[in-house]
Amino acid sequence: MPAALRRRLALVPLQLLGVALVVFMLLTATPGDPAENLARLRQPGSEPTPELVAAIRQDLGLDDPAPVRFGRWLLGAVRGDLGVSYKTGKPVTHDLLARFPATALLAASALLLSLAIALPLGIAAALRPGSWLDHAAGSLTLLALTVPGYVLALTGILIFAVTLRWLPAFGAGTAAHLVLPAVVLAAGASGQLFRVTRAALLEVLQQDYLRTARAKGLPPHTLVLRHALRNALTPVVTMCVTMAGHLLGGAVVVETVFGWPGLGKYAVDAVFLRDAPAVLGAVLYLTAAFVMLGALIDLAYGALDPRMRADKA
Amino acid sequence: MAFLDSPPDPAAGGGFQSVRTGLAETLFRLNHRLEPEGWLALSAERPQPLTWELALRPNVTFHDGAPMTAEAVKASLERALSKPSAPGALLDIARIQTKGAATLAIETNGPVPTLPGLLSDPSFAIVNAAAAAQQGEAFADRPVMTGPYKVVSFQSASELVVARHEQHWGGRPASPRVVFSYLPDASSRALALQAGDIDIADYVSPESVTTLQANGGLEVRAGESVSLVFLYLNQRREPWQDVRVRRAVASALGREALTKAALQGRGSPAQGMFPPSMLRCEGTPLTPPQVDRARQLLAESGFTETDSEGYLLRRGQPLTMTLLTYRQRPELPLVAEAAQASLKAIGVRVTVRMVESIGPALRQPDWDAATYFNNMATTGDPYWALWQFFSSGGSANAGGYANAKVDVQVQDLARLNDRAARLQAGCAAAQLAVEDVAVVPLMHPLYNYGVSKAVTGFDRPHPFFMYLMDGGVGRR
Repeated sequence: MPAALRRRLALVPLQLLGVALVVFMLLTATPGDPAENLARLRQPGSEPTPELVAAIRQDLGLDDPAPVRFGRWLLGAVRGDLGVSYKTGKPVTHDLLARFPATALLAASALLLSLAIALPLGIAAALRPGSWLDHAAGSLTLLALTVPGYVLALTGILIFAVTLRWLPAFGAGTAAHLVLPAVVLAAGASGQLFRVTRAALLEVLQQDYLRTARAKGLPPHTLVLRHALRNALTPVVTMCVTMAGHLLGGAVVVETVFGWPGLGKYAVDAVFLRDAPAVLGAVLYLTAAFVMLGALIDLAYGALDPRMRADKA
Repeated sequence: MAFLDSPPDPAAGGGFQSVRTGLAETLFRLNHRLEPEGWLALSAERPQPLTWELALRPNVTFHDGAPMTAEAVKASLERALSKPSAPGALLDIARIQTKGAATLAIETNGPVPTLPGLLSDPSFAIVNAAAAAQQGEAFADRPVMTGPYKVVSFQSASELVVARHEQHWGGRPASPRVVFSYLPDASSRALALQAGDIDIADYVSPESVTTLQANGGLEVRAGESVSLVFLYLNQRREPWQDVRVRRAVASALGREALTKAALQGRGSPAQGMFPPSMLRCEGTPLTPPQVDRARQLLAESGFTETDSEGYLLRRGQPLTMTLLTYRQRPELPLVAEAAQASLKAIGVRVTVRMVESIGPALRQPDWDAATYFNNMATTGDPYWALWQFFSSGGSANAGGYANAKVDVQVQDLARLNDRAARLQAGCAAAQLAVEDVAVVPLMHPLYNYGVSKAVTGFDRPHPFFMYLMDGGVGRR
């Protein structure tokens, strides 16, 4: 393992602790009582009685002072026990593991789909800037970037589920269920990826070494695929990894509209409910995911550009 | 389903959801007039002031085939009493004893005239407590109860699959299998129904109603309303202590127009606190907005000048109102907006503030008014709502309303044994509080279901949305 990566990983526990502490403090500082929220959730529409709220509070151990509660959580967390969600009554690790596959599947599909759309389009547009293809792709991605995901999702359901009846309107379980959520997520992502690919490649194509290569008479595909693209990929990879991080955190809008059983809605619901163990668990998972993706970026940079290998720095 | 969160076991908080999904039954339930009637119990007698005797329904079997005996019901109630429940202290149970195989004697510490209604609370749904003790934690997701359906699988905030309980006392349930899917977005629920992916969509928003009605294969159905949308007025703050100012606000709000704006006809304007489905009280007559009367009332309380924009002033101070609203009930922001416009007409400058969580926001001192939604019929008796909202010190009396006469009336009501007398006393107390404008009742929204015409046995939804699924609901 490279020394830089080791150094990075050594810091992870400290980062996790810091994030958990800040999140816990924010949760306790903002108004909202988990016991009251839970009472309202369990019996929608009814004013919870003070006795009920007090009983739930006692049941969940919320009467203890905040530092005691955090300490208790931390003691469990270092042993791998992230506590029990107030809402589901299940261990948070169980909840996260139950929802991770759906999130990972959706994230991977959306990312691959957006790469499949954005990379070829971006390359083609950069090779012929100002052409009709460039303009068409540019307008299309602008549309994909500006239409809110919620609108796109509902329109997708209206066309493909209600009118054409080709795809299910919601749910998970089969490949058909994956299509609409993945396409909606990929639309925004491919818009961004297209722009980055096009801009990066355009910039690289104008560099001196490529002019030299062109003057030497290298065939265009060798020029682009072997020499230009490799250099242009660095920002694209960065963006992909950042996107992967965000997608692994779940896609709240898409999960809400399609009833997709992912982590995003779980985390957001937990925040609204002030379900501290669930929020902390989700945040730890997300922090860990980003740390790992960060390490992945470093490795990818090194592979793409020898100058950037951390060990040689 | 708009909500599908709690584990189905009532002791884990899932009682409401389990009664809703046909898994659980309570000893008593509320009928369409919201009166308690026997369900797993056949009748209730009160031989002595502190004793209730319940005759249990014969031939009831749990989902695991075990018979529901008096011992089993006793064990279930004792299990429920050890957990948080809404009626909690109101129930005041001292001892539960069995009298033979089919009778239960419940002794209370003080008189509890509304015990059957209180036992209709879903936290007292009957479970096989012996199975619960045996199964431990697994019971939370797969509780053994008595309803027409039993759990096949449950994933919180995702899906509940149930299969029919063949030995249900009410006969073989109509559907072999029912899937409840969590779909929190109202538009998605409407679309999923249009796509034919679901048969019933709950909590359909008023905006979707017309689209669904235009679809030949679908219908929108609703029971009578059990809910109330109202306006809190913060009487701990100037100038809302003054009943004339509160009356001015009430008379400026045209309840019929507000109802139309916020619910698009899916509800009725409120004449009092209680929906007519539960309690037909003599209410305040519905009038169009009375701008002149409101202005006069405000003038009497000292708001005589106006500023350059037409807003009222008293001793140079403007008449402003910070109006809280929240998104969890989609009709409320619309109500707030419409109220803002109506109050502008009488010279009140209203600032609408959207809050994420209304409970804590109401405990802060910095608001003047708030839109609010409440189900008024949880136990079928008016006492609890009256105490919560109108008694000085009531747990939901967020505006700090205090009237000694109302307090006495509510206390007296608590001691009445006869249901008719309780309802009458309830009307009187509510009437007094509404005349005082303790709050401003606005409308009774309907709970709308989008229903495929292929669905049978769901022609007349129960007013209380807790009673959704029963053994009669099926599919052609």
